[in-house]
Amino acid sequence: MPILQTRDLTFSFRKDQPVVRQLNLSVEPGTIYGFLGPNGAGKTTSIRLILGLLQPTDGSVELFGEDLSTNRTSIFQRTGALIEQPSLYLHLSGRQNLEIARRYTRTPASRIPEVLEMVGLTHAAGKNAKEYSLGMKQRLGLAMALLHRPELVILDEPTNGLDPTGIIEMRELVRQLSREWGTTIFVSSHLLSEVERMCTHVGIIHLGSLRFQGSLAELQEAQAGTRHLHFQTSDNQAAAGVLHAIYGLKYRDGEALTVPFQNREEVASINRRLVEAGLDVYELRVHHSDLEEMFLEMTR
Amino acid sequence: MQLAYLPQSVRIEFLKNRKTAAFWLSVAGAAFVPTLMLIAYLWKNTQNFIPPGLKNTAWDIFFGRAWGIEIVLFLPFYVVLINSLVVNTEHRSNTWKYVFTQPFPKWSVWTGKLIGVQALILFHFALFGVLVLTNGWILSLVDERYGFGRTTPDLLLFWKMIGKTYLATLGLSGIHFWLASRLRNIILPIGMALVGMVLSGLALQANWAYIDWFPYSYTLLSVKDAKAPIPARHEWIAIGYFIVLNVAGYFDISRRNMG
Repeated sequence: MPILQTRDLTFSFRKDQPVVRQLNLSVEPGTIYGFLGPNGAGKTTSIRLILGLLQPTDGSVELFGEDLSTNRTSIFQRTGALIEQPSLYLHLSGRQNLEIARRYTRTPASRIPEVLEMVGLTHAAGKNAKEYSLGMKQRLGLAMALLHRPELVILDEPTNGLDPTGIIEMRELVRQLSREWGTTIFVSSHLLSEVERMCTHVGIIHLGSLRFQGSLAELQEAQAGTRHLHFQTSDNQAAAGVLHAIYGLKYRDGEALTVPFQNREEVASINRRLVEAGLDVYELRVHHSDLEEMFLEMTR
Repeated sequence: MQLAYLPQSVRIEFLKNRKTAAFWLSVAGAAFVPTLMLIAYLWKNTQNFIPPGLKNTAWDIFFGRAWGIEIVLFLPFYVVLINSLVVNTEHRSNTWKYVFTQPFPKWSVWTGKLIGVQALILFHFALFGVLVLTNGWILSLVDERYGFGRTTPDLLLFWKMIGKTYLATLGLSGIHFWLASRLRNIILPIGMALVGMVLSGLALQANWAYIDWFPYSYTLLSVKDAKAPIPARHEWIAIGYFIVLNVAGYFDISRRNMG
C-alpha cells in the first residue's frame, strides 16, 4: 500500500486555471521519491495540497492509507515537512524552536540534542534563529521536521539557497534517513541531477500534470532509445553511405554524422564497419544528454 | 479526548511569546502610567496633598487618576497592538504552514493562541494594579501629607474596576485577533484604534444612542460609570462580540488556503 497517494488531485486559485491537474501520485514506503519539475510547474502547490494547507478543488489525498480530511492529527504525528522558506520563530534560539516542535509532537526532550547533532547545529543551538545563515535556518527547519522520527518526510526544494557543501550534506542526510530508519522521503526539486543522485523514484510534473512516474531505472529505460552516437571520419559522405543501409543515414554537407544506438556493442560494431570500409575515424562520441534532454523534452 | 490538546497549546503559545515585543509592551505598558503618576506626585507634591475629611480618600483619587489616564491614553492601543503583535509572529516567521501541519487540531491552535493573548492582557492588568498600589505605598512613606496612610485602599472597588475594564477590552480583542490572522500589516489596526478612539470621544459627547454597540468606546464607558453593575450592558455586548468573532475567525482560518 502506498504511504502517500493522491487521487485526481486538482487545484485552481482562479476558476478555469488549474495549477494542479488530476494528479495521481503514488509513493511506496521506504522509497526516496523525487518530485521533479521546472519552477512554476505546481510542485509547491501540490505539496501544500498534500499537507492540507490548501483545499483541493477536486480529488483527495491519502497518507498512510487514511484520508487527510478526516485524520489530520494521526497523520501529522507520523509526518515531518519542510516547505519553502523554513518556518522558524526568529526571536527564539534554535533550541527553543525545537522545544516548541517537541511539544507539538510529544517527543522526549532527549531527542533535541540528537537532532541538533544530526544537522550540525549543536554549537549554535543557543543563538537566536534570526542570526542564522540561510543554510543554518534550513537545517534547523529540517531538525524540527525530523524531531519526532516521522515515517514520512516531505521536503520542498530543501537544497535551495544552500552552498555546495550544504547540498552534499543534505543529500547525505536524506540517504542516511532512508538507510538507517527506513524513512520514506518525498522531495521536490527543479534539478534533475539532484534527483538522479538522491532518489530511487521519480515523478515529473509540468504545467500541473504528472508526465512520468516510476523508478529511476524505469526512467532510464524509457530514455534508452534516445541515445545517439556522433562521429567524424576522413570522409563523412562515404561513411554515410556505409551506414545508410542499416540506419538510413543521409549525409548533409558540413554536419557531423549522428546515429541512434541501443548499447555499447552497437557502438563497437559501427566503428568496425567504418574502419573495414577503409575510413579513418577521428571522433566517436556518445551523446550523454540522456535524462536532462528527456526532461527538457517532457517539459517543453 | 480532544480537549486534552488545549493546555499544551497554551503552553506552546507562552513559549512563543517569550522575548517578544508583545511581552515587553505588556510590562512597559503596565509600568508607564503608575510611574508617571509617581513622578507627578513627587514633583508637584503640594498640589497632591489630600486633606483629611474628604469623601474620596487619597487612594481613590490616586487610583482614579491613574486609571483615567491609562484608559484614555493607552489601553485601547495596547489591546489592539498586543493582538496584532502576537498573531503577527506567525506571519513574520512563516509559521502558519508549520503550526497547521502539526498533530494538533486547528481549533486547539487557535484557542491556545487566543488564551496566550488574553493571558498577556491579564498579566498587564495585574501588573498595573500592583504597581499603582506599590506607588501609593511608596508615597505614603515619602510624606504623610499625601494622605495614603490615613485609610486603606478599597481593594474590592480597585479590582472591580480592573475587572470591568478587562471585560470592556474583549470586544477589541474579538475584532483585532481575527483581523491580525488575516493581515500582516500592523499599522492599519493601530490606525483603526486611533480613529475608533476619536469617534468614541465624539459619540460620548453627543450621547449617541447606539454607543453600546461600538467596541472602541467600551473602556471609556466602563470608567465613566464605576457604579454600574458588573458586567454592565456594554460589557455583556463586549463578551458577545468576543465569542461570536472568535468562533467566526476560527471557521475562517480553518477553511482558508494557507499561502
